[in-house]
Amino acid sequence: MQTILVCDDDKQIVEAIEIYLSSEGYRILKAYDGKEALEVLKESDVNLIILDVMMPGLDGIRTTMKIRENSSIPIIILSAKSEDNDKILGLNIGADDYITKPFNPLELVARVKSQLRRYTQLGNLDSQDDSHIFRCGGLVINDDNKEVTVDEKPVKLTPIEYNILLLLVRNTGKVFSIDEIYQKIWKEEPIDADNTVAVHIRHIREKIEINPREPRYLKVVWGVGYKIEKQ
Amino acid sequence: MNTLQNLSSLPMCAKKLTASLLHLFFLVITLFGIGTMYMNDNLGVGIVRISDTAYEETTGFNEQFNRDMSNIFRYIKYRDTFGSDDSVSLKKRMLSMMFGPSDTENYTLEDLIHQLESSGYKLNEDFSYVKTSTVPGIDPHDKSGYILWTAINPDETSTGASDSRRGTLNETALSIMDTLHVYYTTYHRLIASPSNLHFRIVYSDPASHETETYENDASLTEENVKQYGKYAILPGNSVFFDTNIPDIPLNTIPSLAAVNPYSGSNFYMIAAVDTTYPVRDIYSEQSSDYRAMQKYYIGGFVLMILGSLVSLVTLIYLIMVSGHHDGTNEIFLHRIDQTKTETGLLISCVIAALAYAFCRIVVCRIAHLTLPEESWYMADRSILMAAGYLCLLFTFFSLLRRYKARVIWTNSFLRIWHDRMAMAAVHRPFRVRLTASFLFYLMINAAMILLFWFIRERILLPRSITHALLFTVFAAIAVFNLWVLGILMRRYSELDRIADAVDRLAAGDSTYKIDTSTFDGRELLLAEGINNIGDGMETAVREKVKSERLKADLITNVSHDIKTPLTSIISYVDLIKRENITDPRILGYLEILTQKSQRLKTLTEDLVEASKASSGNIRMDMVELDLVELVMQASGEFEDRFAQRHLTLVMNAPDERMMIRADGRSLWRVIENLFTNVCKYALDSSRVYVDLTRRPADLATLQAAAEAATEQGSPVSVPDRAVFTIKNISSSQLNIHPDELTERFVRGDVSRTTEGSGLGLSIAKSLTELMHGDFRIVIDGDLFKAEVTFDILP
Repeated sequence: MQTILVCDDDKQIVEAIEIYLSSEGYRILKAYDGKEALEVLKESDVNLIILDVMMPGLDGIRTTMKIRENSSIPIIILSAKSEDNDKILGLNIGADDYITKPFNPLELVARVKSQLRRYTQLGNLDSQDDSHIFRCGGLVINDDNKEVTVDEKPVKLTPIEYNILLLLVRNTGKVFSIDEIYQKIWKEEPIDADNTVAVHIRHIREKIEINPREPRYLKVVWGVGYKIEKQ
Repeated sequence: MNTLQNLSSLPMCAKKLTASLLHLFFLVITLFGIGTMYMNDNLGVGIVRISDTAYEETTGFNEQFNRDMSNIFRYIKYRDTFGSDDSVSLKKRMLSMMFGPSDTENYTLEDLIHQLESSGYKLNEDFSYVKTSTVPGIDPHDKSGYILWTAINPDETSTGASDSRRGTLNETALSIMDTLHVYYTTYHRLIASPSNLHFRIVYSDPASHETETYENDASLTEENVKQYGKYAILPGNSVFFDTNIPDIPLNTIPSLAAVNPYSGSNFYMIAAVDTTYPVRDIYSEQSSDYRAMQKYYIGGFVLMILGSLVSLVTLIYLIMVSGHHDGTNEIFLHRIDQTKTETGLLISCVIAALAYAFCRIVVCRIAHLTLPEESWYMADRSILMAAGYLCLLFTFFSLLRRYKARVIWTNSFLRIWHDRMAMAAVHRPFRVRLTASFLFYLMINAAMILLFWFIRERILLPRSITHALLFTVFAAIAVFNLWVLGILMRRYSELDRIADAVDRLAAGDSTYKIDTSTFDGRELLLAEGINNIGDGMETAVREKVKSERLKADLITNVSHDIKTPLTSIISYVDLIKRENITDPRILGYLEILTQKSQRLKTLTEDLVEASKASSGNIRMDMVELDLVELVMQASGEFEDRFAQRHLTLVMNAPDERMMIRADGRSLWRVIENLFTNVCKYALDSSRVYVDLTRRPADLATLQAAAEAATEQGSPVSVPDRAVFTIKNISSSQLNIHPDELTERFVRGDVSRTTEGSGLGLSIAKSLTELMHGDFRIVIDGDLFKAEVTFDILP
């Protein structure tokens, strides 16, 4: 059983998270400020930490920095601070994910799972490498049997969606405009203004992303095109 | 040296007293010296006098010699008439006059003397005369007639009436006496008595070899004449003289020839002055006089230089120490110096008047008692001058002390008056001040022009004084007008600077300050007022910026604080949903809770964004991007939401790209907000039109660019505009002004029943403007139209 440390100065939030994660089968340790969290970490074996930023005493940012001094354990920051600067700061000092309050409980659970999977399976990633298998973080495309899995969960895609995703994954980091994608997938010149590609992309995102509005894999470069981020 | 040391050890007041006495004493010495030089006989010779010139070299000697020459010529002329010996014959005929056709009378010298004595003249021994009494009315002894012959012109005889020779008996007699007097004195001085002037004139007749000699020294020859100091040899047949006397007149030879008793040119003249002056005569007297006067002159000159030097030095010393006391650097003001400057001047005038009266009434009279009458005039003048000088010194030093203490202006009635006027003027309107100043200006000018006219036309004064006065008045007019011009220039340059400051303030430069150090009067108040306005503006702007930031901070903090409890609400509502609740009523309530909590979440996020966007407190990452691509992406994102509301998207986009410069995420937010707006408020099952067009810049921008082009001198390219338009039919009536829609918390439906924060359009507008785009909303009935415009990159 995996152990998760939840640290927030709001007890109700800690309890709510406990309820969700317990129902998923995790053991929960609770702390209400940074110091407590550090103490719990010393005493117990913890697999993942969910940390609030604004806490009395030692805040989330400084706690994260302390933990990172001697541990590579996954840390998800959970904060009411939703501005870009706060997210960038949190991720830069060593957090693995950043979720803003108020959050969708299901998304939280999904992200926790994702982080744990990556942390535990990090060692044996290279062994399965194959020319027909494309990986991008938790996103795996097996071109032999046309199977797509995200965090080991199979995802059902239409043939066009599958082709678009494959195009983007094969050229990870490259930005494709709508016209380019249209030409490559439909093999014909785009006629008139058509949002078909955009609609398909949205559908793909809804299927492979935990939160389609804040995609991890399939990113929108506004006014330019789409790309799969290098993980 | 000892005296100097003693002097320097004296107390200050003793030094001052000594200096004052020295000054006055040496001033008297200067005047004495000047007086000595003035009263010298040979005034007018100039500074040459102090050089050691002998009398023989002076023009005085020269003139005397020339005078004697002409006297000698007269003697020669009249010797036959008046006689060559000592006595003048009284019986000798002197005058013939004709008083009537047969009335011719001859007069002897005796007759003439008798005639003149009867007319009130008294004759001396040497035939000079003095008029002792005047016969009243017409002199009965006098009569007029034609002169037939006189002893003055013995060679001319007329026989009848001739107008040119008409005269009265007395006049003619007097002129005969004059001539006789000259002849007589010359004879006595040069011939009868021993003289330092030796002369010998010889005329010889070439025909008869007779000679006639006029001389006072028969031994004089051309050879021995040079043994005397000064000599002149004038040969009659040549115009060249042999002489060491500088200025012998050119007419000497003709004069000599004129009295030649023979015809022909055989004559010569030898004359000399024995400069050892063995005989006491006019030359020796003049020589000794000259020596004495020279001594006086040199003495006077030395006294003048010495006196003026010492009195000048003492005066300078007094000017330097005036007002200073021992052991302190402060200027000591006497009681009289502590009064107002004008009072001090008035007191000085009174003292001067009193001194004048006292000198006139007392001192002059005492002087008159002790001095002879002929020196009274000089004495009076000297006394008054001395008194005047003392009063002048008194006033001067009083003013000097005031000047040193810097109270001449500050402690004066004029200053008080000036200050009062200035105080009174400062709070008067410009109009009143201008009128008063103009009247004052006119008055002064008119008065001075009147004065000019008055002096020119109405006052009789010596020409030079009138001219001097006129020039003074003219200069005064010129100076006054220049002064007024200067004041006007200063005032208007102040006004210019104020206007400049107002321009800058109007342009928003609230930090600009007028340097008021050179301002005064109402302009100072004005300038300070403008500076204060600038300060106020600056403070207001700073306060506004500060309060905007505070507001943004407050909203951010509040929204953070709201989010934490909101998190609990959302989480627990979700947990409740997971309990297998079947009661449809509770499920309905839960649905409402879910919706409202979600809306609260959006609201807090929008709120933060709106405050940041409107305060510009947002970082824009401006890059080149394609507006067409972005709109396509956005429409893809909204495809299902449109479908939910059965909205048909009709898109008109060009085939080409429309590259603009913007921040991708912010522009996405703008388009997203507009699409969201459509999803929320568009009429179900209606069409939504999205147009992307390229159009040229509007007229105002073109004109501004044209102006900029003429200013810079190079053409300015005006980019075309990329226009994004979204149009839809509103589901509810839009009875609201378009501008209000972009205000915060304003929604088309006043009842606020639909979802949304009312911040979407406000955020969209702020973000668009932050990216230098234009955001416009048009409402036409139920038609809602939003337009976002950006410059297309070339």
